[in-house]
This record gives sequence, structure tokens and C-alpha cells, in this order.
Amino acid sequence: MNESGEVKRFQELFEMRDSVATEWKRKSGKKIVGCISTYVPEEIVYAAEFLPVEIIGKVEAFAKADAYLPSFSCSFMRGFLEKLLGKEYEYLDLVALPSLCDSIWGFYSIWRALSPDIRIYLLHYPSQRSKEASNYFVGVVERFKSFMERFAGKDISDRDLRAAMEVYDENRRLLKSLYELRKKESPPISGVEALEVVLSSMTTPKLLHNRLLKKLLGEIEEREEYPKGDVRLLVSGHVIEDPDVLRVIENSGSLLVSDDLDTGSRYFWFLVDGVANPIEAISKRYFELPSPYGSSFADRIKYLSDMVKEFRVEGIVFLTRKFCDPYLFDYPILGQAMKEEGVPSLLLEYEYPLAKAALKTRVEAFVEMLR
Amino acid sequence: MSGSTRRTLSSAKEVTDLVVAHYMNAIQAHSEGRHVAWSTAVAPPSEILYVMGVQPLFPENYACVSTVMKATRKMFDASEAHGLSRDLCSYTRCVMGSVLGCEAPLGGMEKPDILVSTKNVCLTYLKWWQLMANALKCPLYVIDCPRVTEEIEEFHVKYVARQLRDLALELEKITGRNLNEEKLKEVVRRSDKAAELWRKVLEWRRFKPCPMGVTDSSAAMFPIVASAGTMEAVEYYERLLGEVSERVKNGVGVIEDEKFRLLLSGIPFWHHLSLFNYLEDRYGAVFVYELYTATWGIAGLNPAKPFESLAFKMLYNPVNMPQTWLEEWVVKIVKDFNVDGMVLLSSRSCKATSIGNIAVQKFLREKYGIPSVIIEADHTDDRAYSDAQAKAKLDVFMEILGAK
Repeated sequence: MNESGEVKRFQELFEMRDSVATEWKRKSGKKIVGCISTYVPEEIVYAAEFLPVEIIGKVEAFAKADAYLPSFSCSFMRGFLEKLLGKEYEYLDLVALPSLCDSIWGFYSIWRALSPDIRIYLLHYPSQRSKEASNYFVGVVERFKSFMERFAGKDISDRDLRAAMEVYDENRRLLKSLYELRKKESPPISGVEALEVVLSSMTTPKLLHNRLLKKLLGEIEEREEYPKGDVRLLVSGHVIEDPDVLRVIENSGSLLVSDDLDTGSRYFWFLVDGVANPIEAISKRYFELPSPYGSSFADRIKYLSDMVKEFRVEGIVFLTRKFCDPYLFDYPILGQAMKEEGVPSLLLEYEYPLAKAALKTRVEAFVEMLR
Repeated sequence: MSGSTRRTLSSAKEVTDLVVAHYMNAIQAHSEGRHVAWSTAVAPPSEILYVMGVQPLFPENYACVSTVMKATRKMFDASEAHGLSRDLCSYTRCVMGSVLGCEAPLGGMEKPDILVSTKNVCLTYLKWWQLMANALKCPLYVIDCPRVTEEIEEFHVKYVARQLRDLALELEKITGRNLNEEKLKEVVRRSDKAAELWRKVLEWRRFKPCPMGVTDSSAAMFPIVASAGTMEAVEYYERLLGEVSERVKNGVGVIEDEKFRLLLSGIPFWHHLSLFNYLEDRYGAVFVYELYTATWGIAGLNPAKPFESLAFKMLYNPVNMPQTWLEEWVVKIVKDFNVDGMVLLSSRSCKATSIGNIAVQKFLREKYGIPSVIIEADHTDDRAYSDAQAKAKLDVFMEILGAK
């Protein structure tokens, strides 16, 4: 597959994320906040003039984290702890996590008890979708804002928030335009490349990313070689921080045309677009994301089903790390619902280091069946 | 070999009948035109349910019962065939087997009219209840409880209390009854009384010889879990308290020759409760406290503010509190109860109660010099358990304690 050209720039940005962040910090003299970005309102962090970056949990061995977390906690939080203990994240000033699952809570609790240099903040992410919960989440986001104000030693005005909303929504619109191109019979961009673009958005200063995205959108359709693949697949799951996971899927002769990932469409599909009180508008946007953390099955199914139709998807790969409870719990329901809509699916559990050959064999068998 | 004989409390023996009566109550409720709720078991809003004439059942308890009755294999198979990963909560896999129509003890639980999840322990409390709502086509009410990172604030309590009021409104719609707030206060008062009595029972275990061991404690916790708010629970704990205090006055321990005093963390491996007997019989080692059984009854209630009290109770449970709080709690128990060492049961499918164990062990050893051992298996799924391995690990631990 040809990954050269403009898209390459995004891959580099993501691969160089640590030096990009360190350089930004040196130049700006400001702080960096590690987030699980899909659920932490980054606008607040940006409005405090800080850089929010997606945390990465991929490691291939657990030398230090094993002293704190058991093998059955998810390898994302174990991996992140490994990196923190291994001093790989020295540029972070704060970690802001949403209270999504038990592995995050376990990690949070342990990190707090270690009294580390890098502070940690937990935002409550509601587990139901009532008016009551929605109002409460506004309060949670307001408290996060107050915390960031103290941390930054500066007030965050509505104007700051509106400016942040504009920058973030612009990024979201641009990413959506890129995804629009994937609806075509022959998409100009592969799933691996699209993931690299989104991942880099989560780790790169947004203004820079917006500039690069505009440039990419102007040139991508002119590229000489379009990605190949004759079966249109969608991948559904949590955070995928290693493009190799998707590369294994696309190397089986399929083409990923869309996704339902935290590091994919769910990161940008919905805009804030608020005219009302900015905190309320921002809260609402994050609160309403279709996820396994409090949405109904119906909401998740609708999102998937719309994606399938809009992108003319022929099959779905449900991807999950081992021990990722939220996605493992949803799989039987989503898989069944898609089956009823005539879309076959495959559950692919993986762990790092990737068992590429075994994964590829399973995807190939699935793709064969769809041909 | 100490060769101790266990002296089972007669109040603990009663529990089998209480469990059967509990499941019958649900059938009775339906026959009287009342409703049945399936609720999560840690600080459930039973008080509100009882006032509304709704009989609660607790799937977690049903999973324990099924495990003790050795009926889980087929239930697991049914869940796994449905697509539920074997790494997911074994309570869930067990009960979902029954929900999906697999043959199960007592003919399955009486079907619910509403599902209530407190979401104050784990994500599983949400996902499991969503799966049941989906399979049973039953309305689900989730009470969203924030994790406690510093301390429990009014901000949190008010939120949970508002949801409890919403639950009451929901129940009014379902049952056609009105909530009588005076009656609720009375039920909350009873619930508080039962919890207070349960705490007192546990306090008596400070004495040597310890009057109650883990086997009796795990049985005797049943009414506070399943019947908080009823007169039966109050009366039960009055009887138990009488029996336990009498033992202390007469110097009677649960075993003849008590040599070691242990603290237990985690959910008992219901399929091999005999592991506890092994420690008592072979080493004269008695569990004098369990974080698990103590979880019910930890919070006091104020009947004048029923919704706020119940909200506070939901938030104030060990799994929902930060690790620093847990450490302080454990250290206090170790001191107050003269504990020699701690046994941490890790269940691979229960992250909420197990994920912190390695860290707790490390902190206890390094900061306080408290010895402990982790036994890793599964609380319900006996396929992940090796009795020989568990015993071998305990042998080493007891040798270390004995050598001290």
C-alpha cells in the first residue's frame, strides 16, 4: 500500500508525538495534559492554554507495572503505568481521566497512592443518560474548569471557551470531510492512514493540525495511487493506538472505509456547535457520545447502523484488547443487531505484541466469506 | 495439625431457610399483585423498594447460591455460547445463563418488573444490568454513582439523592402506589438499626478466641444484603448479636485452639469455601474480619433524611473509595483486631474487588510491615481454580506467619 505523500506527514507527527509535545512545551512554557481525549472535554484544557494529548498505553513488556496492576487489568492502563514508571512521560504535568471503567479507576487509585510528581484528575463520566445525569455532568465539567483555572493560575472566560470550541469544531469538520471521501467507490485514503490522521489530531497542537488537514484535503484526491482492497469493512472498538492493528486487517485484501473507534470517528463525529452557555454546550457534546459507558445499546446500534449505510460497509470487525470489559460486554448485542441488518461481523481480540499471523488468518477467512 | 472442630453459630444455620424464604417472597409478591425488582447488591435501595411493596431479588446472591449448589457449568456455557467472553464477570455469566433460558437452581429467579442498578461498584453493574434489560425486555433504572476521589461531598450526595427520588417516581408509575415518606423514614430507621447491629456483631470478633469465623460471617451477612429495612433483618441481627456476645462472655471461639488471626479481602471463592476450613483445621487460623462482609453496614443512616442517607450509603462503600482510604481502613482493622496477616482473594473476572490487591499488598508490606498473601482464581468459576495450588500458597504464607 502506498502511504507516501501528504498523509505521511500525519504518520510522522504521531510517531514523533513525544518530541512534538516536548518542543511545544519548551517554546510555549505552558503545561501538557495527558487525556483519554474522546471523553475529556479538551476545549477546557485548550482554553487554559495547555496542550491536551491522548495518552498511549502500548508497551510490549511490563517490567515495572506488574508491581502494581494484575495481568487481568487491561493492558492499556497497565501499559500507561509502565510508561509513567519508566519515565517515558516526563513532559506531562497532569493526567485527566474520565471514570469510564474499572481498570481506569484501579489505575487512578494506585497512581494517587503513589503520590507522584504528575498529578491526576478524575472526571466523572455518567453511566446513564437522564436529564439528572446530563445536568450533573455540566457540574462536573464546571469543576474541571475551576480546577484547570487554579492549575493554570488564570481565569478561563467564555470567550476563551468559544475560541476553543471554534478550533476544535473546525478540526472535527475537517476530519469529517476527510471521512466523506471514504464513502466513495474508491476511497483515496486507507483505514491505516485515516487512523494516523486522527491519532495525530489527538497529540498535535490543533491549529497546526487544522492547517495540515486543509492542505491534505486539497491534495489527497490527486494522489497517484489509491489504496486497494475489494471488501469494505468497518472496525468497531475502543482506543487503537497502533496502526499495525488495522494494517493487519487491511493486509487481508480488505479496505477499511469507516470506524466506530475512540481514536476514530467517535473522536470527532459530533460537533459542539453551541450558541448557548459554552460549558453547557461542551458538556452536552461529550455526554451524548454513543459509547459503552452509559449510552443505551440502541444508541450504539444506531451509530453503527448509520455508519454501515453511509459508508456502504460489507462487514464489521469488532476489535478489543483482552480484558476490556465494556467492549466485550457490548459485543454480543451489537454483533447480533448487525447480523439482523445483514452485516456479518468478526470479533478480534488482540494483545501486544500483536500475534500478526494468527490475526491475519482470522481476518482473511472473514474476508473470503464476504467476497 | 490442630484438628479443631468448628462451632457453627445456630444463627448462621438459619440462613439457608432465610435464603429459600427470600426467593419464595418474590413468587408471593407476584401472586399478591405486587412487583419484583432485580437489584445490584452493594447498598441497594431496598428501603425504597420495600415501601413501595416491591420485592427485591439480588442476582449476585443468586450466582452465589448457584455456585454453592454446583450448578454453574451449564449456565456459563449458555452465556459463552451467547458471545460473552470468559474473561467477563463470572456472576454475570452465571446469571445470564439462567436469563437466557438455561436450566438453573430454583427454576431461575422470579422474573422482574424492573431492574435497578446502583453502579457504585463496577462497570459490570451497568453492563450486566443492560444485558438483562435487553434479554428480559424489562425497564432498567440506573443510579449513577460518582467515584469518591477525595471525600463524599454534598455535590455527590445530592446527585444520587435526586436519582433516588426519580426512582421512587418511576416505581409510583409502575406500581400505581404513592410513596409514603413517613413510612420510608421508618424503613430507613430499621435498616440503620440492622446495620448497627451487624457492625456490633463484627466488633465482638476483636476478642480472642474469635466468636465467629468467615464461614458463618459469609452466611450471616445475607439479611443485611437482601433484607435491609425489614423487621426480620433487625430481629435476626439481635439474635446473632446475642449469640456472639454470649460466646465472648463464655470464652468460646469458633474453633477450639485459635493460633492465628487473619483478615480477608475479596469475594469468597464460593465454589471452595472449604479453603477457609483448611486454614482453621490445619493451622488454627481464624478470619476475624472480612472487608467484604463489613461492606454492608459500614454507613450509618439518618431516618430524617432518607434519600440523602441512602445516597450517602451508596457512595460510601470500600470499592468506591480511593486506595488511600482503603489502606487506612485496613491498618486500623489490623490494629484493632490483632490481625497477624491478610489474605487477599483476587478474582480474575472481578476487576473492581481485585485490581488493587497487588498494590495494597505492596503498600501494607512496605509502609506498615503487614504480611499478606494473594490467592488468584475466580469467585464463581471453578474452572479457574486449583485447590492444590491455593493450599500450597497458603502453606507458605502460614509458615512465614508461624516463623514470625
